[in-house]
Amino acid sequence: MTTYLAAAPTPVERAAPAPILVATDLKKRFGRTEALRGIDVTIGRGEIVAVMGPSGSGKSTLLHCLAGILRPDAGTVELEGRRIDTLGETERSKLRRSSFGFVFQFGQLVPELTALENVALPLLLDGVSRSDAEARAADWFPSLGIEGLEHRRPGDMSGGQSQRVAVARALVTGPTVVFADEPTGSLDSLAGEQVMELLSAAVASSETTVVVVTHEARVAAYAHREIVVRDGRISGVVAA
Amino acid sequence: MIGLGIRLALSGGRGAIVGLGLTSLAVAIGTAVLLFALSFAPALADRDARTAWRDNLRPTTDAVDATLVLRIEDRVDDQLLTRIHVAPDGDPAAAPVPAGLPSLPEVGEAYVSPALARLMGDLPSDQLADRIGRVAGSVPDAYLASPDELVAVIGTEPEVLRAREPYAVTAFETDALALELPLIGVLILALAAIGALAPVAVFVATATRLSAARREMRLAALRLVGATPGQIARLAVVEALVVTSIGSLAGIVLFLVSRPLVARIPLDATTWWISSISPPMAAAVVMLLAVQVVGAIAALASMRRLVITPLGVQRRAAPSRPAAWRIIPLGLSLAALAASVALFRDPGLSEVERVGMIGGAFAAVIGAIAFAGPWLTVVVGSVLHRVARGAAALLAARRLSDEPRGSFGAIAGVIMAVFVASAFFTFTAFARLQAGSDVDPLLREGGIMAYPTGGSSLPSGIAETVGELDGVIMAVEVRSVALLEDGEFATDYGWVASCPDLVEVLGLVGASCAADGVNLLGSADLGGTYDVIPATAPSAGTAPRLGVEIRPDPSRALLELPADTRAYVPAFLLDPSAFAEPAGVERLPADVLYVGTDGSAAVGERVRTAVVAAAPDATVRLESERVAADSQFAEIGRIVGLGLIGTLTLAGCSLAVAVTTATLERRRQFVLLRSAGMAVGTLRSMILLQAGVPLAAVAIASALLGALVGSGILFVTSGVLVLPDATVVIVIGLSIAVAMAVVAMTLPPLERMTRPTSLRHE
Ligand SMILES: Nc1ncnc2c1ncn2[C@@H]1O[C@H](COP(=O)(O)OP(=O)(O)OP(=O)(O)O)[C@@H](O)[C@H]1O
Ligand SMILES: [Mg+2]
Repeated sequence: MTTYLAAAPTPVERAAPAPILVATDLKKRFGRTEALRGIDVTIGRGEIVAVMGPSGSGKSTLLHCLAGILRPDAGTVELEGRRIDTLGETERSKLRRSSFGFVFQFGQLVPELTALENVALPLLLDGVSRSDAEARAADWFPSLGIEGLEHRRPGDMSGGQSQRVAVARALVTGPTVVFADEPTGSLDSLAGEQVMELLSAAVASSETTVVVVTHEARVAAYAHREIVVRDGRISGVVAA
Repeated sequence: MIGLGIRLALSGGRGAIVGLGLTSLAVAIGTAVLLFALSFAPALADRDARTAWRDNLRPTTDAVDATLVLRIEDRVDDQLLTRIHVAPDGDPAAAPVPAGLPSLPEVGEAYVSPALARLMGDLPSDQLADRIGRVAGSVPDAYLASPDELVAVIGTEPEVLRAREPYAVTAFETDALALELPLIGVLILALAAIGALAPVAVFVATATRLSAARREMRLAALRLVGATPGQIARLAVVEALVVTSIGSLAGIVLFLVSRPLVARIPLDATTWWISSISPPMAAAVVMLLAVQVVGAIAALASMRRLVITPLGVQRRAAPSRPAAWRIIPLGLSLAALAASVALFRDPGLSEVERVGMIGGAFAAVIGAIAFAGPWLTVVVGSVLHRVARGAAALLAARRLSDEPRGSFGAIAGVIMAVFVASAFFTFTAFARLQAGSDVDPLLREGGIMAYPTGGSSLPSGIAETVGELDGVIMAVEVRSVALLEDGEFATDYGWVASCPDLVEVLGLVGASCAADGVNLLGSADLGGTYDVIPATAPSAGTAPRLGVEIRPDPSRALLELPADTRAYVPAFLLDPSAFAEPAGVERLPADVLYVGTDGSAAVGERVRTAVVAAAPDATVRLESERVAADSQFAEIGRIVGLGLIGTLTLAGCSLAVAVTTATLERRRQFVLLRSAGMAVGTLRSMILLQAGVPLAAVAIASALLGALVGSGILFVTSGVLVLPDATVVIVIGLSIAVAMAVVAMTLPPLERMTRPTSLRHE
């Protein structure tokens, strides 16, 4: 339990960016399953980090802990120097909608709402008026190539279109970090690459950090750095 | 937030809209039921106020100018006809006038209700109008209990009324007697309201579950993008309020739309003015607000049971498998019911306490059935598992054992309705046994009897008048008498009447009259010289009397009467021929008239009209009314029957919704199974088995229990062992059949929804 490979900066890295998300000695268990057995990660501003590893190794659990969705059993998570793992449920919710964005494999769009409303949702929850929220949401549609789909419901869109709407929703609040868990998992390779293309282009201009869990090398290729998780521990870090 | 909540509630897919619609419908039905319940007391009060002028009669003893009032409940055309005979007592100009009338009607004139005026136009005058007189005007609506009430205020000679114990009133009231609903009435009403609301609640619960899975997914998605638990709670409340407010509005509409129909349901043989079925405004507003509050609280309570994380929804505690001890409350409540029934005759208890105890225990049994249901479902499931052949039965059995609560919830409504129905039909059978006793059982088909009400006698010659009417075969006057021997009462009372005529009118097959005119009906032992006096004479001294000499004869034959009528029969029957001077019999007053007719409705009305024209206070009973006599019971039966139909309908809807939900929850699994080659037929029979097997098993059990409970209550309270009649079997068979038809109706859409191609981006 004491030996693990830290996510040490690698020589290939460009000028090391300022750390924005720092996790130390994260542990998390589900009943008898030890999903995380002590993980240290430091992620810098504007970085795109891919988390890879075999199925069941704890990738999603790590992501959820970093994003304040799950509370680790031990260890700390700091966002811009501030502990977030100790925050209450309400505080973490507010953090998620103001500082984080999410793109999951599927099921994260609200089926009752149109694409535009789905993208506007984090703003609405934050108290932005409906007209402002929808105007800001609408700005994202052209750049993600989903113009014209504003008033479709998730059920009436293709998987790739849905994922691009999810990307728009993740970016609409101007988050510090975007967390993506298998964002291309349900897409064919072309659609998957499009989504990654758009995501990385969108964050490039705004210094947004991206943490993406994937097992596709093609997706990982968009990352500056790859973290490999095995059995709840980090087993290696590879610079792109 | 509110806008978002409304949009989320209203802009779902087809499934969400169906869920929303069904839940609102259930709330609407509940609201309408509550509005009717709230309207019940005001409607009764309104009815009483309208009829106060004739019901709330305050007699005066002062010798002032008054109005004599004699109120008679007559019948015509199988309906109640209220005749109010009035006459001035003293100065006609000073006599008070019934509310709503311009003046007292002249002798031979009448004010009539509109419905009576119509009926008088429809029937020949010798069947109705001759009882009433010339129509001088109408009784205004404001003074009638219902729009189809038959009422006449008839001007009558003061002497005719004085001879018949009238009320003398100095003023006609317009205020009802203070309305006092007896506590029992309140209790029954409350139980009925609970009974009506329980299936509504079950329906709301099942309808909510229909869209629950989707709703939980949606809430989890909202949590992911940063909705706080507080925001989620607020959203849930807003969504609940959307449903309850749509439902409440629809409920008000439903109330207004169904009011004219409900107004047609008679209580006390009287229908209702539509306008009088109105809840008190303040109470209605409070009730409608309470529905919203209850909806919001229920939404919050259901949220408390869920932990909605951004990753999905977890239930706080996995419900444990229902164990056999769930049957214990059923045993306890049955014991409580038995105890309360045993205590029923305890004189130390008030009626309210007795009824309260039985009612409470009965409600507890219903609750206990619902509580034991899941365990019974497990049992049914494991039996099915053991005997199962084939995939469908196996899957259904697994589902029953794994999800007993959900599976029983689907059929709970039907089960409870079946229990109540079978207990109720036991009471029906009992009531039918008891009914009809107020018509003389001596009357044979087409028979009519008339008797005076106010202690007076029938006018002389009435038998002759009636005997000449069309359709009358024979009319016999009967004089009830007592025998005095040396100034002392000698025997029980007896009759003086023409024996051959009475034998014919009453259809006493095989009976033969004694040659000397002295017939024994009971065990009287007659012999000697007697004075015959009217049985109703207030004192032996002043009464008219007639001497008769009867030769003792131990071998005197009994006049045989049908065994079941003997209790109603006097000790002896003296034919006029037994008297030395047969014509002298006429001096004794006649107090019963037996009439034999051809049995047509017209001749019944004709006899009534002739008798009433001669004696306004006479009561005329038709043999055919033996059936009508249990109309009050029939009324209650109709109301309860309507309630049962409503309950079963709701229960059927709950069942359909629950079956759909259960299948949709496993939709992915079914789609995959079907992709993997499971036949549609297997899916179909699995759904049918899953609903049908526990339904049939538990319904039959609860029907037996209901019949047992009903018979037990009746046996202890009345000593009569009654078994429910075939109606129970029919009702239960029909309920199960209807329920299965409902389930079958959900099959085609379910088959469509589990088609292998149907899972697109969901
Ligand atoms: N909610 C949970 N309850 C119980 N066990 C869980 C839960 N979530 C994850 N686990 C377990 O924790 C371990 C890590 O799971 P996790 O989802 O993080 O793996 P993963 O690397 O994302 O796998 P995949 O690539 O298949 O998505 C697994 O053994 C999993 O079974
Ligand atoms: Mg994962």
